[in-house]
Amino acid sequence: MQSVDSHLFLIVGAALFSIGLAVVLLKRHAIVVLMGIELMLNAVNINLVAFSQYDPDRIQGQMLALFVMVVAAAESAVALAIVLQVYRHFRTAQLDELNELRQ
Amino acid sequence: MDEWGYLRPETPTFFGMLQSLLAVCLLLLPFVGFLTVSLASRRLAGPLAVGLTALGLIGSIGLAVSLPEQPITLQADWATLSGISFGIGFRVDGLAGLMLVIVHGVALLVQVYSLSYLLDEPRLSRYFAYLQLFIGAMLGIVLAGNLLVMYAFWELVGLASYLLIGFYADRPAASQAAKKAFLMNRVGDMGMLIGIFLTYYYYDTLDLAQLNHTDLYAVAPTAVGLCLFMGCVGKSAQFPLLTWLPDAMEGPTPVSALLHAATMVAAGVFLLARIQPLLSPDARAVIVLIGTITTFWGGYSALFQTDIKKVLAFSTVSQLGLMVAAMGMGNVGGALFHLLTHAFFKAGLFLSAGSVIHAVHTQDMRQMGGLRRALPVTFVAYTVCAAALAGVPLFSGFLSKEAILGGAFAWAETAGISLAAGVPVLLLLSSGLTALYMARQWRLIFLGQYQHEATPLSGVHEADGLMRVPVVILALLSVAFWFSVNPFSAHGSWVFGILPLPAEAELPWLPPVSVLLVLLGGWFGVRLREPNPTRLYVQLSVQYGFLDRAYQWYIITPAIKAATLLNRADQRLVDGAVNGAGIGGVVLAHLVHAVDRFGVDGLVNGAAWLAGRLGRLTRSVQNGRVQSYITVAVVGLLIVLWWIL
Repeated sequence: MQSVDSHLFLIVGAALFSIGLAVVLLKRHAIVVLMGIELMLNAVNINLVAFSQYDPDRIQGQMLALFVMVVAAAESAVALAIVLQVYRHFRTAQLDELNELRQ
Repeated sequence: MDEWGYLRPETPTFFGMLQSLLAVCLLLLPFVGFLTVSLASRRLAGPLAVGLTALGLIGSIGLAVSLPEQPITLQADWATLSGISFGIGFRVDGLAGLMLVIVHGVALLVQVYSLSYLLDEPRLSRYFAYLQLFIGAMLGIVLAGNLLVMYAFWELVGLASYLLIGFYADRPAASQAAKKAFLMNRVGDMGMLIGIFLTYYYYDTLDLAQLNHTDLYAVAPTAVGLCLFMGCVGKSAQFPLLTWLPDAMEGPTPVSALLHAATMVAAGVFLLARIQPLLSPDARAVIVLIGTITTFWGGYSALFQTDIKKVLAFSTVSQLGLMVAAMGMGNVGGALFHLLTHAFFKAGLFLSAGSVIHAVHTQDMRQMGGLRRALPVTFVAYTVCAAALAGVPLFSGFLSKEAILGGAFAWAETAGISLAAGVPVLLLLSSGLTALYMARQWRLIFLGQYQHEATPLSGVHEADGLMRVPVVILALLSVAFWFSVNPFSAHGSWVFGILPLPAEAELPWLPPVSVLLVLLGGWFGVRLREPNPTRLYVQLSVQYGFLDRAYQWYIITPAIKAATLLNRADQRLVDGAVNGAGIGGVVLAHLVHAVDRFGVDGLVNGAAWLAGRLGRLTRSVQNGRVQSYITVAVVGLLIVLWWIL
């Protein structure tokens, strides 16, 4: 199997992570922020898989990526439930309007 | 010296002890009287006081009759200050015995008289208590054995006289007079105190017995004698401190009698008798001079007075001058003899004057007159006493005056001072003057027409027996017979058995001349018409040589001015300094306040302000926005990563 230069993976991963971070920081809707988080997690997964080729067993990174996916799914389920509750409570899901913590 | 408080007679026989005990009891009696009488009721006070004094009179006669040759002395330590011991001492000798009898006798008669004279007085018990205090103080002077004790009682006499002169405290004049008497006495007493200090400085003792050993010292310093004499000047109303005595007439009349006869003014003369060895020739010359001036001054001042008591007051001043002059000449016997006779006739005169005042309710002699029929007993007594005072033969005053004048001429011969011959002549003239003013007074009161309108002549009558008996007794005692069987000379009489005989010049012309002067003075006094009271020579007499006015101008006004000046200086300088310090303090306080406010408070407030700002700053971070938290977390993470890598 022809191996691809690992730094390309890293560039894609970094770009993906940066986009995810930007989404998390800049977007105001809670669900979009969650989508940014998913992007960042997947950027991490790309890195994990990319580095996995240097593993003699070539399995540890992939296993960890799978694990991250499971966790991300769980996290999405919980977070979406919270967002739903928040929306019900505040009648909005815009993060900048949710400043209840300040009080 | 003995133990504390143990009085030891130096003649330790049983009889001597008994006499010492008697002397101490005599001294304590009036002080006990002072306490008990002041607590007694109004009715009981008088008889109680009279009884006590009568007891004292009996005791003092007993003591005087039985006196031994040697004086009885009692000594005890009183206080020891830095190794110097001051004793308390008493001394009873012939002199003291004589004075004891005079003081008690006159005091007894005066108190009997007061029983009736002050019958309506509401504060009677206080009056008699003061009298007891007065008597006790005088007895203390008489019995004192050293100058310190004498000074203590001397001041007590001053206090008692103050209380009695100002007894009618509701009259402003009386309280003024009391104040004046007290203050003028203080002037003299100050000199006396300095004299006592000087005595101790030179002789290391204040004990009279030791001071009387004349052979121990060559010549006493003049200052000692003069300073001690100042005490006499104050108490015995000598020139220039004589003005308190006429003002002291504001007191009740019996008090005047006591004060003039026995208790107060006699103290100065008695002091001079006690300190004879301490008087240097120069001091004696000054004393003679002062005495002579006083004699003449007092005599002239008595001449035109219109107040019945003031004439008598100035005659006392004049007679005291005579005694002091005799003391200055060293004629102790003559002076004390005159003190003795003077005590009786002057007390008699004052009590008679009291009877007259009691009857006509005025003291102005111009309104009296023709009282000889209305007051026959007083008239006779007054005449006898006035004759004794004027020095008419057959009366006591003649004897004692002759003793003084004879001594004066003898002194002038030996004195060796060129002006000395003038002194006895002046004294002789003054005794003529005495006859003049007494005759004038006698005429104004008892002869002529009665002129007082407020009290009709029909209402004027003799006082009761309690007032008449003392007057009569005193008049009887003014007769020469009691003092000397020979009515023209006191030589060889019992008086000079006790007192030292004066050195008299053999002057056969002296008695006739003095009798002539007295008769001349008396004739003028009766015949003279009253001069216009506005004439200068009358005013000079009435205002006693303008002495009070001179004091007002030269001493009192400048003193008040100086006091005002000092007061102002006080207000400006001292108060100014104090106020300045106060203002400075306030300014400083403001300054400190400002520092406090801006410095200390500023620090505290600044800290609080800073904390607040910081809090606001940190709170602004906690804005509740999830995304800004995340931003911060990411930035922080990046910084940490950058730091680590």
